[in-house]
Amino acid sequence: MRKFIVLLMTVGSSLTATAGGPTYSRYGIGDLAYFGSNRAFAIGVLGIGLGGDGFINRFNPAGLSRISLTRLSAGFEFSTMSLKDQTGATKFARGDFQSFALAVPISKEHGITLSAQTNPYSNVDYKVQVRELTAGSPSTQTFSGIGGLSSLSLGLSYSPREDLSLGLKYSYVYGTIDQITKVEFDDVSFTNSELHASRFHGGSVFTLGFLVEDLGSFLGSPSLKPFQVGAVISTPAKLSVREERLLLTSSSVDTTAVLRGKTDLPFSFGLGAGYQANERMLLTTDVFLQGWQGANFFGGSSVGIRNSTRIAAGVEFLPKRVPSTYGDRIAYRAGFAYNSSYHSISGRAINEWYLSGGTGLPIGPDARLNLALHVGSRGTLDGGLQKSTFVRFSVSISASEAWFLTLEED
Amino acid sequence: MAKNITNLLTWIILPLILGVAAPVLSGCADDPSPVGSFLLPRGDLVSVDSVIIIAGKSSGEKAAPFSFTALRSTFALGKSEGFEAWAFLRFLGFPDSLSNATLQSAEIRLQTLYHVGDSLGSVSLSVHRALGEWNRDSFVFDSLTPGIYDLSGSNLNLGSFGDNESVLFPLDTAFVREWVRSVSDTSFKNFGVILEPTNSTVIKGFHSGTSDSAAQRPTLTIRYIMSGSAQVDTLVLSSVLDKFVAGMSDTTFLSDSTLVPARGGAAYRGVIGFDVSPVPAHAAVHRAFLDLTLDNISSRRASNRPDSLLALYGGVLNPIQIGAPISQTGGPVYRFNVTEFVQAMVRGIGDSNIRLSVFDEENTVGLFMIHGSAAADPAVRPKLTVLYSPTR
Repeated sequence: MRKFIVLLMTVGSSLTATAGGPTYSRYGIGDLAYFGSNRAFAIGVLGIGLGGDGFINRFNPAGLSRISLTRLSAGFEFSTMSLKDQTGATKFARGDFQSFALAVPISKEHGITLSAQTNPYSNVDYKVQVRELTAGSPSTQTFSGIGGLSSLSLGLSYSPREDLSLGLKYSYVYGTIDQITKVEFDDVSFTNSELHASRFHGGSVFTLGFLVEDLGSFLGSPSLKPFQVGAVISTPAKLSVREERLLLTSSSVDTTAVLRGKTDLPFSFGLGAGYQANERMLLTTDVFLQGWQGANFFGGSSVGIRNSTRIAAGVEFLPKRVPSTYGDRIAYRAGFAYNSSYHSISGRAINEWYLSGGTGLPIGPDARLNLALHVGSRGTLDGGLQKSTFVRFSVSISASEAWFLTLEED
Repeated sequence: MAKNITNLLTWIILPLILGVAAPVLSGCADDPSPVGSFLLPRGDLVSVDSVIIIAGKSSGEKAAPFSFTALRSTFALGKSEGFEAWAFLRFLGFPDSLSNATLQSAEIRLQTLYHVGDSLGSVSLSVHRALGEWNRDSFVFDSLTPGIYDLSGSNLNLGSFGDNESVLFPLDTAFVREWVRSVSDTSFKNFGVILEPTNSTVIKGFHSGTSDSAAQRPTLTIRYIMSGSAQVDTLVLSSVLDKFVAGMSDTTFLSDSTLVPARGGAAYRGVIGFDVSPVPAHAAVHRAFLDLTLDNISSRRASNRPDSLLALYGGVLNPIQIGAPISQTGGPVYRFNVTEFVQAMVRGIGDSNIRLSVFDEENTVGLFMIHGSAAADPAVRPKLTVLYSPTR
């Protein structure tokens, strides 16, 4: 185990190696990060319709109600992507912190569980370079964006009845997005410049969720017993944004402007469903919609932005109902996701799809090492746009401990 | 069981993670490329604008020359068109044994280097005994008050001589006797001599006491007879402190905005003011050239100095920019890259004046006259050409 921890630390220490990505993240608040849990990540879904004890549901707070032991979960995501457009092709690799979550059951009887978590909300990571003839002198202009938003959340679940869970989550969405424009001239008599525009965001979002884990019982229809459904609604928010512009030359650093404004996070709504085909196989699907159209980004219009819809479905499979070997306890997951993203550049929709797969490897009495892989594509070459194919690899740990629980004496 | 899991982690899962994660992480990220550039909003691209700004004001000012107290490689002596250069020499290293000697003669030798003015003009001077300390920062041309030297100097005419020649003139042995006595008796002082120019058409530059070559340094040759001896001995001293101050009593020309002076020694500097408001506040200044046109007729260049001027601006990392002629058509046009200066002006962290001095102003008395903001021909007025990109 010590070797494993050393490995994680080693891998984690290289996470600053971000190096760019699709230029779509130049728009809005970047590429939205959809992360429901490590388990859901491998299935491809967000986990809106998923409940249970073995994972922390980040997306639907109602999904926390079955957690029986204090659970910790953390993970990293590594990705590589190939980008193409009419000018050629390039590739990038990067690593990002994926999530950290802690869930503490307060009352198993009432399904009360508290959670604290931090997740990425969006990512900005692009870097492009063009050659220009600037004032008669050849120059290299490099445009890069880095940063993104994260959410720090506190969640609470409650089960008013055996088959129904409710949840409420407060999220503080924050983060910095840096846009950097660098101009370097071939002629040494020119002075190069670098303009940094850093936007510091902050604002609150509330998410309400519900989860019916036994639809048959809930509706009084035994035939629906294998079904479970869930939903989430998030409030819109206006993030406070402070923008600081900094001009760097070889001889000076100048704060050229400090501006304040607002950026909209829209109302969002998601529906999820699950079907327990048998004791070893769970099918699940969810859809998530966000009303980005008309959103305001720091006073700017929402050029290149539209409403987004994400649809995904997948399956989780356990080899044996009663495991006898280590291999029997490994969970296998696979799925498919289609994301009609909130980017629409030059009137062309930027959509994404990917296949997902992964395993949940037991590494202790109640702990799993989750590995997941996404392979997919985004964007289009039509209209001079950019197409990317990507591979995302996620590694995470989810483990539990008996904290804060009063054990009954015989 | 636990051991099996550990073995599994160690030998299967960890290599699996490494096998997958390592290639992804190492990913061979390419350098930034144009891929994706068409997605950038057009407004993101940097566009450079240019503006030409003509000086709104110009004048001259008096300043302490650079490195005023540093060891200077030359000193000047002479007068031309009302501009005077006074020289100061203080020889050191007198042996105490000379107190008992009879001084026969004393002679100063100087090695010329350059001239300003009439190359054939003769040099005459008055040698005064210095009465006070002159080797300090604040001692400039205006400090030449009667109390600093003995008004009763001896007048000498050195005649006409060229550059790179030795010049000899005698020195009153009474001066030397006092300097010798000052070694052991504090009631005697050695402040050296002050050489006052009394000619009117040329200023000569000489090698100073900092020269590496003993043949170039000023020397004091003393001929003496020791007490009880009949032999005339010679002592040559070449350890010397020297200095010169220069200027003119009528400085009304400094307020002229038609011609801007830059003269070493004094030092007179040009002050050229620009209103940079046509450049947007906080714009990124990519290049700014200052073009100045020399008025050949009224300039008086030193015979040996580099043909360069300096543009000066305070409060920036590189406060000095050298300008050299880029055009000899008509009056030479001197060009300076003053990007950093204009960047500071646009930031509002400095004033709007660029100052102009001659190159090596502590070692020359050459005069450069630049057409100013009120020059009759607008084409020769000081001009800034600024290339910039707005930042907001």
